[in-house]
Amino acid sequence: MDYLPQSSRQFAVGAAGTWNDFEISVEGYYKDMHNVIEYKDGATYLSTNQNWQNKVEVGRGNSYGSEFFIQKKVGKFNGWVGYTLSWTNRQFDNLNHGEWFPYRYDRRHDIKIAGTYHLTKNFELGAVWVYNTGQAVTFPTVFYFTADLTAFYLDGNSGSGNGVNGGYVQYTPSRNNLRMTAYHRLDLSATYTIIKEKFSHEFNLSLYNAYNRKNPYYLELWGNQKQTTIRQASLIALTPSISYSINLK
Amino acid sequence: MAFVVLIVIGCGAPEILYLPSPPRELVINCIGYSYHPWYAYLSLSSSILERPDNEVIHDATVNLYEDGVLVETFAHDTTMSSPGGTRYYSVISTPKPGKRYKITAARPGFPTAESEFLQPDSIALGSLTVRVIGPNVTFPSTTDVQFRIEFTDPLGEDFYELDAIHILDSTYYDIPGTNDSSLYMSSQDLRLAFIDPAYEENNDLFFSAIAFNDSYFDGKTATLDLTAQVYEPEKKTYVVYLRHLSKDYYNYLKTVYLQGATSGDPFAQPVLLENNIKDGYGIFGGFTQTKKPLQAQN
Repeated sequence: MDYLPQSSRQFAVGAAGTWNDFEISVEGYYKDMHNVIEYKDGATYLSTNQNWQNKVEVGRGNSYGSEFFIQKKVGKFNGWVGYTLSWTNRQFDNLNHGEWFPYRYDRRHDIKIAGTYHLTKNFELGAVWVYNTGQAVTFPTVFYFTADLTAFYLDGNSGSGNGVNGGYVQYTPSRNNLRMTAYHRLDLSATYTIIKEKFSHEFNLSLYNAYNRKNPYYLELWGNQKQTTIRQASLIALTPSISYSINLK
Repeated sequence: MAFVVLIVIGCGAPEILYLPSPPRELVINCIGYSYHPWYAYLSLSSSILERPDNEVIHDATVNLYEDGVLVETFAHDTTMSSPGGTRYYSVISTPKPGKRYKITAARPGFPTAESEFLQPDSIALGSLTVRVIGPNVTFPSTTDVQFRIEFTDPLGEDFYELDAIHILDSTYYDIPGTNDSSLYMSSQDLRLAFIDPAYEENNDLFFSAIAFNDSYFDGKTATLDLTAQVYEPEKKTYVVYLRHLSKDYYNYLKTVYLQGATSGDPFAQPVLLENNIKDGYGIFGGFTQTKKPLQAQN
């Protein structure tokens, strides 16, 4: 199957201005997308017996929201705050019963705050905090037994064919029906700079994910004979680092 | 390398999350096979975090409506309760092609589950041929045979399942104490596969009966070429089955099979199961089958 190139139209309206030491901008946008692709139900990345074109569906999408940005560039303390309120959706005739669903990267709130404080000419402290609404994931909510369908084929051997011989099945109400917990993180840094005539030395101490937030990476069903639970795996907890660099002029 | 080490060190122990449990609801599994008795299997759904519930449901009322008129309250089969549910069955009614059926299952303490569908019409098999091609390249102990199957598809969206068996032996034997005889057949259930690449997707979906829709031949005569492998090509008799499926049943077959085939594959996309039961789960659908024997040509 041949697919048409993806296309989109975007409409945006915004305003920007300066107030004392602050630059402020506000923008609203709407974007529609055509010929976007998404994996079919059950498509597997590892299978090589199908062309990739047979593993995807073609559909449409939209994205809309507003962005707010404020920045301070002068003074001992400078930094910026960005906030985005947004919706991102997809629709495919052969996915999710043809109904619209939130895209994997649909994030209702996205906040970034960054600041730098110059203690002295050579020494500065920095902090960045980010927050995103949790990623949308497809996760089953219910399971039940499906009957042995061969039991309905009552004339002997003709019924053994469909391979659906009963067993527990998992029911998922819709694509991307569940939200992972929100992602947020604080990074801190302290930088000392020695400036020479032909080069400068820079010593940096930083803490990534300073309050050791266990941000979600993926969810899995995990269970034994007694209990089934949903486990959330996380990557990159609190990570300190030290760096030294020389910058030639 | 250092980045990888950091990631490994930074991995936290997995956190346990809790989800609100969806309420338990009735599960109906009922597939109508034209002119054969109805069987409905009732069970209960469970939250994904709970253990399965195999409770016998003896206090439900299962009603069947034909074209809007109540035709029967199913009897409870007290002799049989499979893991798939407690069986209820019809005594007087059978599914008839072209009729619309509705099922309701009521049990104290649960919302009444219901669903409906149109029993598909019978589709006559047209011209059929099967030819013996020769030894299979991959499995030389088997022989390729090729079917050409024709039937006329009605206008509108239709769904089918094709199946075939190879008769290896057939003998009539007398039933003791009666004047009747019965036919004993041993056969090989054939795994059919479309030759036309346009249907390639369908070949992956089902174990041997192959399901497909009429998107390539809507309202026309379908001429389908399929291949299969047999062990005893010298035996000439085959039987082809054509099942005209209701849409929900087709989608259910497809999604149940796909979910089973991809379970355990961490790289597979999730499969949303077809569910056409309102206030419950499961499937209420049907099929109408026609079959035709044929002899192989060399």
